[in-house]
Amino acid sequence: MTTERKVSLGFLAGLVAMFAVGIAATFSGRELLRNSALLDHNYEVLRTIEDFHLRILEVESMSRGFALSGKEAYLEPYRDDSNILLEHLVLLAELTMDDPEQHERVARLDPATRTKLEFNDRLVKARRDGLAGQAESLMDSEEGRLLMLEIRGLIAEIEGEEREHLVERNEAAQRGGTRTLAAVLIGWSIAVALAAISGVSIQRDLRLRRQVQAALEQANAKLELANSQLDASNQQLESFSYSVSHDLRIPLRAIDGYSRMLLEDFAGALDEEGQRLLNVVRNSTTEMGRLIDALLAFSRAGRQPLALERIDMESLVRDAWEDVCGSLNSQLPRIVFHALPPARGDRSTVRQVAVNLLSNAAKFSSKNADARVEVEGRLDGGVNVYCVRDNGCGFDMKYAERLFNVFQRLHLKEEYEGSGVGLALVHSVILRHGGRVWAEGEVGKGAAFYFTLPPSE
Amino acid sequence: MNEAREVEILLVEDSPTDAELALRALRKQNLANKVTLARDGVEAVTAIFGSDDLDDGGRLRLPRLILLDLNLPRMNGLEVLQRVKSDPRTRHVPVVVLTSSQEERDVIESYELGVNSYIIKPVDFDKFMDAVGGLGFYWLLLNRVPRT
Repeated sequence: MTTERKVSLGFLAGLVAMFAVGIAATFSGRELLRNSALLDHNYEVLRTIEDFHLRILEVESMSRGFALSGKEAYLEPYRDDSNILLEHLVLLAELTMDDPEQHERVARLDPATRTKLEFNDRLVKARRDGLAGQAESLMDSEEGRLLMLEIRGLIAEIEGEEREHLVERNEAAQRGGTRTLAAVLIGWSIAVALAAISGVSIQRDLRLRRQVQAALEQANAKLELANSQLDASNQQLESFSYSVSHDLRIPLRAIDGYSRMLLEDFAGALDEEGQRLLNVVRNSTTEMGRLIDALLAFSRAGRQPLALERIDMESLVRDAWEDVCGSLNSQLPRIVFHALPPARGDRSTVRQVAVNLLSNAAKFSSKNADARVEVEGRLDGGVNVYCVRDNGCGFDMKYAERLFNVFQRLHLKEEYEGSGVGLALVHSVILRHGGRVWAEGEVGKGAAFYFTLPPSE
Repeated sequence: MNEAREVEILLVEDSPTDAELALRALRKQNLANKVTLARDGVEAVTAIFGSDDLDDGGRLRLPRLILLDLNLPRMNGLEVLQRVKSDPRTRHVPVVVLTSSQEERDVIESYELGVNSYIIKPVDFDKFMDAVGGLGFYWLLLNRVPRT
């Protein structure tokens, strides 16, 4: 996976994690809020019922106090608390609307409280009317005690129930809080883990990239050095071939020229054998001149820059064949052109390759009465493979490697003429195109020369 | 300016054998009697402009044809060519480069400097005779240059 992909995936995963945490937190938070509202409600019920409890005890003790002492001071708090108790009953009924059980208890508390308050009023009235005996018997009566017992029982029930609710809701709130915390923690951990994984992975990628870059720079530096060395040696080669072309010819021309002058000016002084020997000298200089020319052509072809373009190999090969036909001294073989895929290369040098291979094929098959040369090509494994095949004299596969060396000949010059650089030139051109050259042959059966070029697309 | 007529051909050639062959070819065309030989670029320039430093017009010798080798000791042929073709007094003199160099860059540079012909010396004696004799014949007898 590329670093860019990792970065964007890491960010995406982080965003998703954050989003999930956000949603979870929102839900938990909302629940927490609802819970705390319910808790407030609980507390209000509890406060009210506790106050109710206090005040009912107060009402009891005030009414008794008055009944025993007849002091008016007891009556005011007695009445206040009685009123508050009635208000509390209304409030409790409202507060417990959402809880049918509690509401039912409050509904039972209401008549009990009112009855109790009436009872207490009766007690107060009896004392005020001066009926101390009646008051005393009311205080001792079972009725008051039972009423109080019922009220306190109901209060305990309501309070107990509400405390239970409180505990439950507290627990729920705590659970909600824990859940929120857990969600946030999990989300946070995921985000941190993702960040860590992405970070480590990106770091590793970057380190790898830096290493690759360093290696590349090193390789580049080496290549530049090799290139400058190559440039230098190319330059040397150029000046070498320049002086070869220039200086080597001068003595050669002198040998030929002076032999000729000798023949022209002193013909009478030379017998037939003397003239033959001088002619051998002259023929040798001509041959050497030709070799120098061939070597120079070879060296020039290797230095000429390549202009790569799409080459229609079929028309190039037909053109080359026409060239060969024009320059060949021997009898022409039958030629068969098969379909050839177009290649990418330098037109003039590739044309030279075709000319050299075709003229070789024609030359070395010229002694076969049914000479035949075939040109074929195909796309194979991403490269174009071309082949020039003949049914000529062939060669021993032992020497296949040497075929492409400069001035390497496998046949006597008297049998087949040639400069000795034709295949070396083919080899050099194809190598410069990044291709391969090889040959297959059998003595007396023929030869096939293969070369590869990059396809045009 | 009568002196100028005396020198018909200036042959600039450092190789004595090549010079002899050239002279023989020119002789066959009956052109050898007015050949001056310069063995390097400095000698060539002196032959044309007088002293290399002191080229007063009085000592100017205008050959009718310059046969110029390129690879010369001291001042090379391209420098001589440049000198001749950049001077208004000498630029009408036909200059034929006669060299062994088949290098394309030498051909191109010579033509850029204004050479009139570029001949590669053949190794073969007959072809050499034909080439040198033919160009002497062409440039001296057939070709017309403005009169100075």
